[in-house]
Amino acid sequence: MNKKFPVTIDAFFRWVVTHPKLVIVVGISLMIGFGSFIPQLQKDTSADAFLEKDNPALVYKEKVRDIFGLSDPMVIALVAEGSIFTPEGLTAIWQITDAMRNIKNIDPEGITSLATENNIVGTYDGMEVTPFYENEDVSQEQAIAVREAIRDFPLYQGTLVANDETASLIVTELLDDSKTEETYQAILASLNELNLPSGLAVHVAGEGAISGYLGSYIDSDASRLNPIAALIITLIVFIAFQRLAPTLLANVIIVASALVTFGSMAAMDVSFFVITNALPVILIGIAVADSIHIYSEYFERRAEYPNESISDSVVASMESMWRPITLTTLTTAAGFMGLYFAAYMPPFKYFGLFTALGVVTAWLYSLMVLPAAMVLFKTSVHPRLIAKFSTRKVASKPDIFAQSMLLLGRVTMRFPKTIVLLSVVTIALGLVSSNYLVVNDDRIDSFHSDEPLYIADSVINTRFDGTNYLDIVIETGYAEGIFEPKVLEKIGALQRYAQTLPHVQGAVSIVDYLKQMNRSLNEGKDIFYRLPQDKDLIAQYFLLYSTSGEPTDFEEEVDYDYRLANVRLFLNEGAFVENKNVLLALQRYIDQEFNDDAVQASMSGRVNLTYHWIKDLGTSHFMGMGIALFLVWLVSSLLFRSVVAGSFALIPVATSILLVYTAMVVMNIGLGIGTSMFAAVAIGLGVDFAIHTIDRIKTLYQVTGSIEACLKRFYPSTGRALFFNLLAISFGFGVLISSEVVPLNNFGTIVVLSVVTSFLFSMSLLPALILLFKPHFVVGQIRQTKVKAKTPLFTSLLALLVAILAVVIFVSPNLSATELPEGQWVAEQINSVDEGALRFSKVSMILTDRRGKERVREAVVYRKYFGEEKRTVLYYLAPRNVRDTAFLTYDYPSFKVDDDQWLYLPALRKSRRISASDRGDYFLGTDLTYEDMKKEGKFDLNDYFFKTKGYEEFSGKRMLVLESTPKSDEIAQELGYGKVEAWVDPENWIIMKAQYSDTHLHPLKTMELDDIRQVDGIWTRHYLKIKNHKTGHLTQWRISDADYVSPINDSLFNRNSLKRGAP
Amino acid sequence: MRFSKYSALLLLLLLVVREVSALDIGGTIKAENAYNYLDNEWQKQVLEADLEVNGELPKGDLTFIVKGFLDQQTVLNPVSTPDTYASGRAFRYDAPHGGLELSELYWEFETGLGYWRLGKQQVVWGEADGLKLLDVVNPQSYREFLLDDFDESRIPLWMFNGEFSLPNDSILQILWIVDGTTHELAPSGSPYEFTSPLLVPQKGGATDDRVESPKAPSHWIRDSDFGVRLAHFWNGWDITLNYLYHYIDDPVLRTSIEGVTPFVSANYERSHLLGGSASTALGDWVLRTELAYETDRYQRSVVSLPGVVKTNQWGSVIGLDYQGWTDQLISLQWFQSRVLGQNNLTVKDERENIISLIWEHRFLNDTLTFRASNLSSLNRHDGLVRVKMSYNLISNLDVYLGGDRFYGNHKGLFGQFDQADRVAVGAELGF
Repeated sequence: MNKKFPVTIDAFFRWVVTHPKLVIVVGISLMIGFGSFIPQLQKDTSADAFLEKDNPALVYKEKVRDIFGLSDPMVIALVAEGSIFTPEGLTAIWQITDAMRNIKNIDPEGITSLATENNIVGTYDGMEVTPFYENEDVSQEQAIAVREAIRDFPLYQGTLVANDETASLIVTELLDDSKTEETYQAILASLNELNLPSGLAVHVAGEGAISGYLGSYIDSDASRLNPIAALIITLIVFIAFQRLAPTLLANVIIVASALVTFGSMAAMDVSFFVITNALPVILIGIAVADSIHIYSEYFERRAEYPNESISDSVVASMESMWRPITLTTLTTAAGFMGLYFAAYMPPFKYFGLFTALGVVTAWLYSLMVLPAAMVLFKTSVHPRLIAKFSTRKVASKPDIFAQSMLLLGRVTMRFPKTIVLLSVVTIALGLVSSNYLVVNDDRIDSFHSDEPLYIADSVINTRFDGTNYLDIVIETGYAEGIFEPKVLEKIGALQRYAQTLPHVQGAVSIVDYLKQMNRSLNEGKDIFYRLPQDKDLIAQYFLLYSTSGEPTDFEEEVDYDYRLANVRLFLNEGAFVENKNVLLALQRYIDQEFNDDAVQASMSGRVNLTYHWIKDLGTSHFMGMGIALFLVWLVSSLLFRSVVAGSFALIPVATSILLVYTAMVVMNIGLGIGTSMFAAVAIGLGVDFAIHTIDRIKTLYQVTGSIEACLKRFYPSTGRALFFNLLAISFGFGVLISSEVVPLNNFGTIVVLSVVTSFLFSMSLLPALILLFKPHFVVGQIRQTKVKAKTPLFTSLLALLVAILAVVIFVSPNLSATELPEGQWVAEQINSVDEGALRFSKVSMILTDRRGKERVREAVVYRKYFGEEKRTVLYYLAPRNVRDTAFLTYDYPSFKVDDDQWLYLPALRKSRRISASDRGDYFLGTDLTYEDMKKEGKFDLNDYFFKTKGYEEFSGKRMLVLESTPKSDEIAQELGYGKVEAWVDPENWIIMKAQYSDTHLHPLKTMELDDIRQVDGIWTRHYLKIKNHKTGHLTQWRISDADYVSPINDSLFNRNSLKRGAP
Repeated sequence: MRFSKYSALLLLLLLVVREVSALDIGGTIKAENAYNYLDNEWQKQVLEADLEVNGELPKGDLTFIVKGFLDQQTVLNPVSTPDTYASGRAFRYDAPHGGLELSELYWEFETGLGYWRLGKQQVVWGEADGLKLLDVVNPQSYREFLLDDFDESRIPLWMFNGEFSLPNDSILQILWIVDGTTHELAPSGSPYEFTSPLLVPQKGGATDDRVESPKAPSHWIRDSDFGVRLAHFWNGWDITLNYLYHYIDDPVLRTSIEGVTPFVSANYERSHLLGGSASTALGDWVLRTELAYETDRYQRSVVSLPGVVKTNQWGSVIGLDYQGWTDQLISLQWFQSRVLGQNNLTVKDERENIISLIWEHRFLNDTLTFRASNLSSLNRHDGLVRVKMSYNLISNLDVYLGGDRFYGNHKGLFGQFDQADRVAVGAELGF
């Protein structure tokens, strides 16, 4: 086989047309293979996806979420025609709040509304914290009382109740941000079911809603736009050739490139982002171009040589077309790789990378599967088109498309200088305009202004303090540091300063609650609406509050040990350009005022995050464009073996981009998420026209020996093909103009504009320049008419292609450097860590409660495997009052069989059978659950889904972060965990740190390990520290004298032996 | 006589200690005050100490536990060691304000045959809590009825205890008990003295009956008891089969007329006990059961002469523990005994039913425990309610506060102590 494998282009295509079935079968198999990954493709429409997972702003946002339970809430506004403080209004708030509690992904403890919040009033013996109202039956008097209470509680004015008292908010925090879309739909459905009385309108907004809404937008957009684009392209191909075969095969190539691209994305675990929605359309436009050019050449050939065999025609067409197609593929791929190299946001990077892959796939299929299929289909040229395709004959009758191109050619040849001059003006205008481009993005502008979400956002931003949140986390170095009056004063001053900044309409922090408490405890006098000046008094206020309030009431303002506090600012504007200066001003203030060790501050929240991912957008855009232009120039120069030719290839696209800048400034379109990547796309697509033009003119010049003559032949043939190419791309992207997602809409418009202008500049400016300057790369030498297959050009092309593929492959390992092992696999590695067939160890437990009181326990543990069954017995040795208490467990390999457990209580002299189903119960007063005890740092694979999240430093080592989520709510309830994040040492697969969240995904406890060393050749954990964040309790578990060798008597693991005590 | 007994024990201990390689010494000191709030009197104000010495012998281990107490009050304590302790085997000294006893002394070792524990010790059978059906190997001190911890109130006996491993995780236990000690009853005049017609003859007429003090059977061989238990773990079930040939630890009180005066004699009678237990965990639930058939049980009779009637009886316990709620235990038990034959003559009903309910809740990482329980007779609607809150103040110091209240029919098992309700406060220090 190898011996016969073709080594020249001619031989290669001969081989393809003589083995058509084999080539097609391999092609289809590859499509099926890659396509099989597609069901795994994940959708991620969140704004967070635009930042790398380890971006400090994103990491800090997650931390804020963990500590304060604050993320991107769904905000429901209930708007009344008059006052919201009516029995109907308050009842509706109650009902909505209640309905929200039943929605699965909404944190029931994270709902804030008038129905959940408490009023703080002073009483003769202290403070009373009472709900504003108790149930959904509200009388007129109660409604008035609530109104008066709110008027007396400045904190809620503007944040919870509209400043004009006509509306109120129900703010709901989500448990899992990846489920915003379902949650948003569930909220809408639930609100619909409520049948609120007339006169009350309900709106849903907030970043959570935006993500949710955008998700459904994208779905409906994708399902609508892609078929339309495919249909339009099919029509264009059919009109061009009036034959079914080219139409069908063009679609096959489109499908192949889409399958390979999306299959690869799925296989590499890259999500489908908001902007990925544009990828299919781009692939459709690019993939079809190659088919159009090849079929165009083929039909021309068939018209010219009707008696030639089909195989010969196909081979001849491929021989003349493989080079321009390869050239355009390389330049287009280079353009998209520019986006990959320059972009800092993952969606853009992947967009660049995978579009390049799609383009290369379309090229491969066009060069191999297409000629193989052409031979099988034996398509003849349509009789009506014979004359039109016979451009090489003198008596040809060009069709309207060819005629249009001829007209363009005539104008170009007649007014070359004018064309160049106009282009220079365009370039100058573009250069000036680019300075006026504004970098901006506002997530709400993703929607048209008549969308309910857009309306909801305006309603809330008009009546309330705003839907855009900026969090400032204040951090003191020690527990109860927040109680320091100095710290609280600083927080108060920060709030006052923030509210002087534009768009900051409100601010909430623990300071406001303290002021309210202080006033309540001082007979409600306004003069006492200030901070108490004594740390002890402040601590007492919280104590007083806790006697009648809920423990979670301040969860969003302070952390559990009062070390951290959160200040939430409300902004009525989400646009980057508006908020940029607010953030910069706040950062300056923080740097000045919160710069010592005692108290520090950091910004978080959606506004901060948006700032971080938009601030470098402009730089990234221009850098991306620069890299793309350079790569295209490099590739073109190499391919044409002329630096000047490479520069000529750039002129049309560069000019078109500058023209687009002018248009953007004129149309007031900012450089945002949707528009910033247009340049790379425009270069990738637009350069094709220039490459085809230069290549064809070069070739024709060698045939005709005159530029004018070659241009006359160029316009009706290649010009016509390029025109169809343009139509396909323009209509493909034109579909995006009808997208409901505004950024895609803008993107579509701009790309169409740039591609059309690229085409026009390639068809006019480029020939004009060639005409005027007669560059050496065109007129330098007359060569043989036919490019031989074994020319050095072919070698260099191949080398370049290999280089491009190598780059794609090179960045794939780059992906795999960040690409992580499968979570399940990691869990299996953890579980396969050798733990020895038996073990004896001594254990010392130090149990410390939140007040620092310590209890010490000493125990010995024996463990032995009986086949796959693990038996463990623990005996307490000290102190005396628990001495001889023993715990025996039989851990069976089958997860279907509950373990057997016994507890020997010396006071009863009896071993009690205990239930093993309560795996989440805490083991004898420690912070380890029975399950933790049993699994000894391993996982029950039947309990969790595993996901690797990345690498992080811990204890000076690079750890793999593994996220484990219980497979069902039932398991989560049993284990007491909603999520476990483990830091795993990939060297020995020992979990070095684990963070446990409760079933509401609030932080529960953290376990840290130390002193891991080998004993008898087995990695042994010698020190565990488990801190429970809810109770403040700490367990330190120190293991000593581990012994995996000395035999242990089987009879020790018998219930009846427990009474004998430790041997 | 007594001197020589203690001298012998001391000599034995000295000999043993010479052989002991290293001693592990520990113990507890406990202060407890119980106040009867109905009679406005202190039931006890005791300081108790127990000292446990463990030592490793050339073969096996030796355990030596001695207990002593001092009581400000005399309400619960006998004047001297009662005769219910088998002669020569009690190793105890009792006085109104205190006492000292050799609680346990045993040598345990393993041989190729099995595990042996020889000496004065406790053996616990069965699965039930609170009332005893199979847990009758050791007698009990009823000085405080059921209010004292079982560990404290169970009277260790001298015995040979051998356990032999059989295939499939089975264990055969054989007991030869050479100690005829029986239940220690509360002394006359104590708030916990038995008065219920279910247990003792009722005092009749103008003159009190003459009552003989019960005296434990004391012959080393002839009066020894014998027990065997087969324990097996099968498919998640703990199953035992038990057999005990023993003296019933309650005296049989027969009334006769000597001349014109009724005379109540006190003897102990033997019985065969054949029974078994089973327990398993079913999800959040634990099921515990016991079943026992006993021969020759003497029941109080409605006919005053002789006042007892000999029957056989069945007993059963079904217990369900629920552990589905974090840090909580809820336990429900149903005890039933059924007299076979002559049941029209017995004071107790043919079927006696007692229900127990226990709720235990642990807080603050098991440092604070609240326990409430109720034992009640369905036949006579009397019962006992107990609550106790204990707190582990520091590693080795527990403090607790509790209350016990009896209620119901004065003739009932619990109602007879209706006047003995109390609150108790205490602390226990381990060392």
